[in-house]
Amino acid sequence: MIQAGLMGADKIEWMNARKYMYQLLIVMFSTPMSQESYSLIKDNVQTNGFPEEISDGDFLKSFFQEEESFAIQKAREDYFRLFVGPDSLPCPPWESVYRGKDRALFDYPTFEVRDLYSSFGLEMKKQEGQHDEADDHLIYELEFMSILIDKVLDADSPAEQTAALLGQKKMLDEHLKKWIPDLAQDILTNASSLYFQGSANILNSFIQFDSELVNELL
Amino acid sequence: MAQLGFYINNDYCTGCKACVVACKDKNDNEVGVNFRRVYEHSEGDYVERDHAVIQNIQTFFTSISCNHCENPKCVEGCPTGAMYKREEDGVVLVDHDKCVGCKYCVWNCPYGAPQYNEVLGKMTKCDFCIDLISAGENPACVGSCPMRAIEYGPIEELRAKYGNVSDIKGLPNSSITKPNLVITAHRNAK
Amino acid sequence: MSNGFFNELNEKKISRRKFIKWSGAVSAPVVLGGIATTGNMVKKAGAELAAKKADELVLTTCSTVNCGGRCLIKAHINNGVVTRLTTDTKADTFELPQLRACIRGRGYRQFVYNPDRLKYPMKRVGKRGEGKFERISWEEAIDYIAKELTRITEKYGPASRYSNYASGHSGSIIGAGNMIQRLFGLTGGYLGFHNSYSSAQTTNATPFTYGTTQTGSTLDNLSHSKMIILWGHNPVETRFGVTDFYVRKAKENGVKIVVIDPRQSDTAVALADEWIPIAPTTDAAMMDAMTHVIITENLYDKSFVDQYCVGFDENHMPDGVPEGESLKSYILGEKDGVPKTPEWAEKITRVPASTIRRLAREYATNKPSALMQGWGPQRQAYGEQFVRGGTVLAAITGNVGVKGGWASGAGYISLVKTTAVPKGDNPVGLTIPCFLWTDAIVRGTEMDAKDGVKGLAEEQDTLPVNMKAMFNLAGNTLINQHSDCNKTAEILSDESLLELIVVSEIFMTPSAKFADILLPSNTFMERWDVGTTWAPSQQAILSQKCIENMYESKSDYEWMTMLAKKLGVEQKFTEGRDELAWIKWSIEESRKTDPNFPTFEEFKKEGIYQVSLEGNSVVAFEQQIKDPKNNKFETPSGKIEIFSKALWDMNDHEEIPAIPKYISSWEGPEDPLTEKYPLQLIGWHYKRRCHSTFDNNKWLEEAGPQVMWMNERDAATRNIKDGDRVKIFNDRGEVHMPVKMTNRVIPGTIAIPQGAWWSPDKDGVDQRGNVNTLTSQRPSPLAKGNPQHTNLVEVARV
Repeated sequence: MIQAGLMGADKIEWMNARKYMYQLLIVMFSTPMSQESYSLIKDNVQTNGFPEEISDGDFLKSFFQEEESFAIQKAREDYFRLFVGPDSLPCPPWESVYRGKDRALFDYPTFEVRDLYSSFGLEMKKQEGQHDEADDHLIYELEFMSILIDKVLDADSPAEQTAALLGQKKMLDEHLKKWIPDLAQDILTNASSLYFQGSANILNSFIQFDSELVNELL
Repeated sequence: MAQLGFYINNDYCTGCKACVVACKDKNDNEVGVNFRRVYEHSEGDYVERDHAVIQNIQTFFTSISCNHCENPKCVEGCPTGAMYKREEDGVVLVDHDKCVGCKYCVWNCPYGAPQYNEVLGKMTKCDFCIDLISAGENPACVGSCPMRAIEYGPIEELRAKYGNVSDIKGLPNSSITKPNLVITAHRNAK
Repeated sequence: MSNGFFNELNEKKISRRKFIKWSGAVSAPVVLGGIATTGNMVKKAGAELAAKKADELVLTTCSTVNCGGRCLIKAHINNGVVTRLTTDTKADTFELPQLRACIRGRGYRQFVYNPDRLKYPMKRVGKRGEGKFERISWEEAIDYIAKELTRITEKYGPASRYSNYASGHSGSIIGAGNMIQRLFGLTGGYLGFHNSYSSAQTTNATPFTYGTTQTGSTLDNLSHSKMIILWGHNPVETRFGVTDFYVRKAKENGVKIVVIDPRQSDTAVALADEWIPIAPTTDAAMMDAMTHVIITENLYDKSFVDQYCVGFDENHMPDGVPEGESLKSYILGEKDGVPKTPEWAEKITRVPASTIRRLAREYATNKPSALMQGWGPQRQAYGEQFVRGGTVLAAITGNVGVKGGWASGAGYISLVKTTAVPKGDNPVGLTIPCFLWTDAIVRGTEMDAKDGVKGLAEEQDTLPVNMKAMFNLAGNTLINQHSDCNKTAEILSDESLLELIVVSEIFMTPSAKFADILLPSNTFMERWDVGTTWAPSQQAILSQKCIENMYESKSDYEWMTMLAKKLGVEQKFTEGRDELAWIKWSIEESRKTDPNFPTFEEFKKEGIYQVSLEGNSVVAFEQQIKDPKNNKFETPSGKIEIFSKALWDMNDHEEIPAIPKYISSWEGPEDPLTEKYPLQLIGWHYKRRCHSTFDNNKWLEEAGPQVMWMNERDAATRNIKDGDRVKIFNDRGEVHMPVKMTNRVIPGTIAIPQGAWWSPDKDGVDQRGNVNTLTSQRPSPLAKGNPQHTNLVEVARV
């Protein structure tokens, strides 16, 4: 059990490492690739720093060996095609689509994660008159994880730490772990860029790993 | 409460499938799983005489769900006892705690009523919308029919009102399961 | 804890090596400008943890897609999400029937919450039509549109601007098409259109008989008929709603119902006592023959014809017309030597002469009877003749203006009138027939009155300019629902022709693929409106905003307000009103003419304004027949014009006859082209779609898959089996799709349900089954309407 306010440097380091991973995933899946995100990822991600089981294809490594503008363009096109449209989406990045009964949005997972966010005093940012995004979009679920890691780091008491970890466990075990494998499979089947084949592998493996880890910590 | 049954006025069924989709909407059933189904039956041919065409084409539609039978073969053949006929109103239900998804009931039911749900790995079927009925509403299919061709109620009342026919062209012989179903047959279905 | 986290991990299952690998992958925060990890989620306002579920809210709404039924939809809303739909559950009476949702209404959750919805404004990056887009902001989109619109207007003038016929948002008081025309009108004007793709021939032809298109009666009349002929009318699939209800009631009352249709439609199956199959495009020949029987057997209503009609025989002709031009003269073949006998018609129509004879006798002697025309048979090369033929049969049998009869023709009637937001003036003042928009792109400056251009000034022979800016809002007529997809695609792809195409849509339709700027529209559940239906309309429904705009979608009015601001006319455009304020305005306007129209608060409570037929039953032309002295028909003669002098004066007697005549159709069964393409092809409105809307709905595809109907005989000669994938082709294109082998379609004719989304492969072969890949852009002579059911094709196994 992690202790209150007494987190060792190594543990802080580890929590940070997890947070960086979630941040990386958010960058990967929340925005089409740009010059800026390309450099950011290239500079900060050790492509040979991933566990063997996902390095097998070395998609990401190969991606950064491609000619830069070609690679960026390819990743951009993929991003729109896979997750944004305007065409029919091969990998709709919402949990409801994968776990609801008829691949539509706003099925029961939306309400479940909304309740989970709410139990930590969180809700989605909204504009007046707009419902910009359903609560169970991939990015929101990842962002929730990142925020709750911060809550562990900033916690004043062991109870708070445990609560934040329990929230992560819930998100991982009851949500991310249940649909990310299917989403990742769809991405692998449909992505034409090395970047998203790599990203899908990283996303899937990391979620599985992080779930094991969080369960160990509790 | 007495045994419940459906009444189908086949003569007015337009084959529109509003009942099928209303049922899907109510039960959130995915493509391929349909507690209520509509079948088209068409036979006959033309006589061509000089230029003229004379038709003898006989078509009708049949809307069918679970008939909550007197002798439900699905219940009889269920190896785990998951499929059961409830005492108070004779509605046939599946107990998901017991169902192992063996699909034996699919083989046994002559009407194709049990519908296997791949996601759950369990059998599912028409439950007569007992939740809606207890809330004072109509079953989804009944309330949806644009032609007002589906009714439900105690089967004895329906029989008193509409007769005893539950055998029409295309349906299995009613002696097999004794369905709680009354049909007004389309002229082409007799 | 002092021996560290690593050791702790070591003792457990997760290997240190694996852990180090993961922790080594990302060495520093990966935070992108603007995309911080805390960007999307915020602290809940009110600091209330785990908010309690709000009570379920039930709001009425109404799909303002182009639907003939217009049912009542009750959306059950939990926490801002529509979780369930129910429909009308009020008492169901003859005068005030329930408006039950049909199969399509049942699938609305799949429509609104479909992950494939358009989410963000998009700008084309590839070649036009290629389908490559990138996301832009609303501000960028509006900027681009304003700039291009201004440039094009300065260069070509306002008559180069056009808002395409689009029916995806219709029966609405604040429809997208109307509103963009309002905005165009405020900024110099635009090229307008008249007609529709649904009913051009009937709305143009019907007034030549009756002076109006309002020829419909309330449907309770049908229960007073002795016989109902549904001629090419398939309400069970096209209208749903109250039409089905009242036809059913008539059947219950023992009224004999006959359906005439190349297909044994679902209406024929469920409601008809008899189905008479007929070859497409030949309906007018059968009508001529029925008229022949009625005249030669003296079954017509002589006193009615004498008193109310012009042109029946040579004694009742207008001045200035030579002899031998009356209906009787034509039918008896006095001039052309061809009596229009049932035997003559049998050869053309494939309907046995004995059947024609029997039907004519039954119709003429069982009064009152109702000959109701569908709109399908008027969407053919000479559809005007079918329309006028029906009205003449009704007139000579005295079935006009009487309870239980039916005047035939367009059949419009409306008991409930709503007030749309005014379009305002169009300073350009020109309109084209909506079907000829592709012509206006390639040869607008050649188009004159003969092409149906209206509003030309005296010194102005043609349109001043070709069309250059196209707004296609909430519609799929930019390609899918227009004729000849391949030809249309070629025109659209040429970026030197149309210089701007703006599309607003809910899904990536075939039309949306051709956008330069693609705007994500919200759905009817996300905006305010008042919905009314096609004829016969008994109801208006308050379509309430149930949920907030999804993603970055906006209603057309919302983004047009942004555009109006950019163009400097916001105040004039909005008059200070948002959507809801316009709804309230509209309701108040409607209340000025109909005091029973509910107030906004009443409307909100009931959700619907439905007029009971009790005491409100209407028979078209009842006054003109009861009291002809004081009530004239709105025709030039004041009578029912079997012979129209106005048509005669158009001086194109072969193609636009003054009395209804069968005109042998190009690509009809008598066209020599049958040697190359021996099969006739028609479309039909499929119950599972509303035109092309819902084609992408999986539930509805399961209920009604896209299949081509082919007769067993035609299939056998081509070695085709049920379920085979076949190619259907003519000189205009090729379609590949599965076959449903069924004798429910007359031999020699195949049928493809219209509205499937055109999906050409790299060779331009449609792989989905869009009938318009094979239809022609040649318009009908009088109305310049679309001839969608006039096609010759051949079919073979793929």
